Amino acid sequence: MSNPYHNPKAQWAAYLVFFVVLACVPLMVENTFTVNLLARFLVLGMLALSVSLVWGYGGILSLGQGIAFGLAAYGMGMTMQMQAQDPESMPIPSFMLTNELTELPALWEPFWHAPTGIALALIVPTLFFAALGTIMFQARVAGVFVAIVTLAMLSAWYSMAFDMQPYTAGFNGISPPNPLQLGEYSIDPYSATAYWIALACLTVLTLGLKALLHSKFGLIIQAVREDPERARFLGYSVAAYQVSVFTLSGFVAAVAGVLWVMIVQYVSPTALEVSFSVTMVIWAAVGGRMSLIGAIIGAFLVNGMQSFLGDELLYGFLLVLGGLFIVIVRFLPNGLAGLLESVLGRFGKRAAPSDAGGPV
Amino acid sequence: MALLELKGVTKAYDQLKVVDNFDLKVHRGELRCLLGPNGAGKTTTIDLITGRQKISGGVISLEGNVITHWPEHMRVRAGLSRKFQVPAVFKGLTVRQNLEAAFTRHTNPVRNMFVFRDREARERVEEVALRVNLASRLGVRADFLSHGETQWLEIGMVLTQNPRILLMDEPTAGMTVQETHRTGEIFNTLKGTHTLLVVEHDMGFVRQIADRVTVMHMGRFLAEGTIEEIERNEDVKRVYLGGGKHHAHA
Repeated sequence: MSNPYHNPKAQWAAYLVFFVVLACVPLMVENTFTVNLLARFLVLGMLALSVSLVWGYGGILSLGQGIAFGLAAYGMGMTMQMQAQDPESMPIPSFMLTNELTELPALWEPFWHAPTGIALALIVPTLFFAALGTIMFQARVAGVFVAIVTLAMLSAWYSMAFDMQPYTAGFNGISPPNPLQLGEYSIDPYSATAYWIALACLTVLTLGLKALLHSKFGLIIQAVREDPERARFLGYSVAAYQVSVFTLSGFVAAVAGVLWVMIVQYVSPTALEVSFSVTMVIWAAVGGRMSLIGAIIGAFLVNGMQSFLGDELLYGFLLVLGGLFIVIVRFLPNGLAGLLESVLGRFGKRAAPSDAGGPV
Repeated sequence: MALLELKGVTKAYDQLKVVDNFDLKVHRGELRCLLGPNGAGKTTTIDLITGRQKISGGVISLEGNVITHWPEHMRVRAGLSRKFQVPAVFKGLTVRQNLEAAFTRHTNPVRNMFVFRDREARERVEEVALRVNLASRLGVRADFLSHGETQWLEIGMVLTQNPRILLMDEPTAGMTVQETHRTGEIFNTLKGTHTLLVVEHDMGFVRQIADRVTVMHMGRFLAEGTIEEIERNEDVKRVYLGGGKHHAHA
């Protein structure tokens, strides 16, 4: 009688199947290059996940998810770079020498210790999102103005990463010579292990957020999205909810940043580019911003297309991407997940007005 | 002591005073109607009570607490709950979700991350849904409701909160005659147990529900009394009821 799309049990089952299938992928793929490519897609899926949370559910159109991603990526890049340095023989990275630094900058000191470095890579961007969110949402900045503020902030970070050459290696970026060392283990970016680490993080975050969206908190952030004033007059501090969801999305993007550098062993200002953060929004829109799993699949599809068509079309691919975005926004405002919803709705009994349910 | 008390409440835009030195006392268990022609300052008064607009002068107190400058959500937590003139519900959410969102035992975001199946909320939602005729519509998304049902949903949300005082800004706006009558019945069941301040235009509706009526004109207090007294009052007749006193949409 109701649409299976809205059945919570069916949703959890779909999520489970999705992640189990993803876990089996490296068993079927021989080519290590492909495994690495797929691991990258997982990380990009995580970025779409953060967009789905903040935009789809929170109604906050953030074009600055790249800030958390980029800061975390730099944190991880610094951590891995310092793993290759030696306090005695080679205390500072070579790019600093060419920039005439003779001592390791204080900013870099904590990254001698890898666990501290990784922790900082996660905590600093999250705190930054908490602070930026507090400033914006206490002042009741909303709608397109949030997009503008986050975009401007992103550009500022991009310029900093670009200009502070002695500290960030500028345009060239940081390319740590060795893979990430975790205790005894070295995480080869081309191995199935790296893929599974990324997948484990994606799974935990996705299922955690899905559970969160079924909580009262999940209901209230959606209520705030629908009508902030009504929520305020029910006694909720709208700003507190917006800051919470914005901060959480920042944390998810930060995890993605850390994993990204583990997998590509490189970080440069491109992580902070405006176009990158804008495409994240497109991935989520294509897959369906109101569905966590939909957004992840959107990221897989668009990036998959880019990998295969991008080589053929080069910059022409951007036209394809733009066209796709227009078509989706015009005909499928809830993306592919929305399409699935209406198809399943037709299979379910033709009951009168559809019985819409919780988060998907 | 009055539950809600306004003393000398004023709202001015430059020279123009939309609410001018307005006094009002609403007692516990009372259903008070606030009447007045368009532009009399009724909605502005509700805005000032709930903190949606900044007050220019005067004092507002709720159960003896001066709330004049409190932020909106704090006033709501102190027991004020409001229905808007243009129905404000969460359109993309179901009726059940709308009512659950209005159940506000906890408002802290972090605390609410750990609230899942709240039995008390569920029971309250079902009880309220029966009261406002939406028991069979709980699974329907709010944007599929008729206008009257949307109004009831918002009334239901305000009721779910179980506030000290319910502020209703034109609860019957846009309703059919039957819906209006049904709304009057809902309000009459609330009398005694709840305190209500209702802004209304529809005189038939006011006759159906009101204990006492306060009339505003040009932002000022004009008259107060039972509906019969108000209908006999010469000042009121002059400014508001005019000739046709049945449907006084000014």
